[in-house]
Amino acid sequence: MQTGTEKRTALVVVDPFNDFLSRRGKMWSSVGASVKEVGLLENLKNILNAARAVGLQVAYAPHHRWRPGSFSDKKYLHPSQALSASFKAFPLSGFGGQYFKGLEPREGEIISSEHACSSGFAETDLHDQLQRIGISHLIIVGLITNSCIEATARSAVDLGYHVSLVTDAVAAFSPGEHARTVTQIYPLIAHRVLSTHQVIDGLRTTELTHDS
Amino acid sequence: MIPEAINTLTRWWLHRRFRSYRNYSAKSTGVLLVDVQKGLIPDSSRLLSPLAELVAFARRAEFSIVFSRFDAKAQRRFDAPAHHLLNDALRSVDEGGSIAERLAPRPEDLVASERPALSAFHGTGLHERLQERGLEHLIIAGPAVRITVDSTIRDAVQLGYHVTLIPETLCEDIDEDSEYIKDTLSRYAQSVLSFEKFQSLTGKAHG
Repeated sequence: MQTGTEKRTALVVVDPFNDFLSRRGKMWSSVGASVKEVGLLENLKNILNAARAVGLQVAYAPHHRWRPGSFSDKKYLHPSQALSASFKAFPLSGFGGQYFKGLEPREGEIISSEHACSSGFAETDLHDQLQRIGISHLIIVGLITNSCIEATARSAVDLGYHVSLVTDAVAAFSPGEHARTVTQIYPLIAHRVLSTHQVIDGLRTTELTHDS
Repeated sequence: MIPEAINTLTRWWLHRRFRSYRNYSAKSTGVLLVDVQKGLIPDSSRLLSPLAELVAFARRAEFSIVFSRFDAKAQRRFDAPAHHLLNDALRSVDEGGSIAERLAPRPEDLVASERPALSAFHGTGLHERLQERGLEHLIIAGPAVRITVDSTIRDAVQLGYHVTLIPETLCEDIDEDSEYIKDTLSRYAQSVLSFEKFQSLTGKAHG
């Protein structure tokens, strides 16, 4: 972390891919119920709009796109890798591995290298890219509530970031998993647990981005 | 209901898929005890006996035994609620940061330096030391399951280990059927086994 007390926030968007978010996506049949229940698509679009409107740094942390030979060098696969290898989740050259329409990165935004398991920081350049511009605070949104989002948050906490999680800007493989995670785990590991409404208000009033 | 059915099917599929991983040889297996410190496991804790049994079993099986301790004195710019909970528990008793006596390390064990991070792997060089010993299979146990054990499991799998969890050796309110195991830990650890099942898979240490 930088040594000063300057506060600089980034919005980190994790895995907004078609395989999770499109009705034609490979994981929609499990993720869809949670996505619909929290109103994820609308909330993500609103947070992105609000962040861009105030010039907040946006950073994308994309999951590994499946391609032939993915993970073949590993002796023990991570469960998500075993699933991905069998079901070709997020294919590099296919619909499922593309960003959901309306949630694509824009020019000037950070796109980190792909994470192979679940933390956006594990063996990627995300930390370097955020450090280069002095980011100290993160708002982490996207998918999945208790896997990639939580893993990215846990890494971020250990790396020294101040972490905000947004209970209705993430979704899980079932509404129950989502609800249990945001009520039982998020308040332990995140510095701040917010709603989309609170994030958008905080960005408008600069409460989230200035002073401390 | 459909998502729950798919998740149950996924767990079953993964459980079968990872059966071939359970090859616990003495050389390649380690028991990683995360934060088994007095402040987190008082003498009255129901977790103490299962952990002591696991350690005794691991010694008979000649597995490596590895200790990682949270440092309640560490300073950081932003403390999360998790850090406060750990600090308060470890400071609540005298010598709260030292390892519970019933689990006392022996000279051949690996005791990592105290760490300020939630994950036992963060900034400790633990991965390198486990690699030096040739460990591939890690049984991860400890009391602060939702805080430090969870972070450690995620990093261990990411680093390429086969991770096994024995619910009896995690937090007191956890068992094999806990929603937390089903929701989250089984999405990371390749093997979740009862202590009995784990012992039966480790033939050499029988009896």
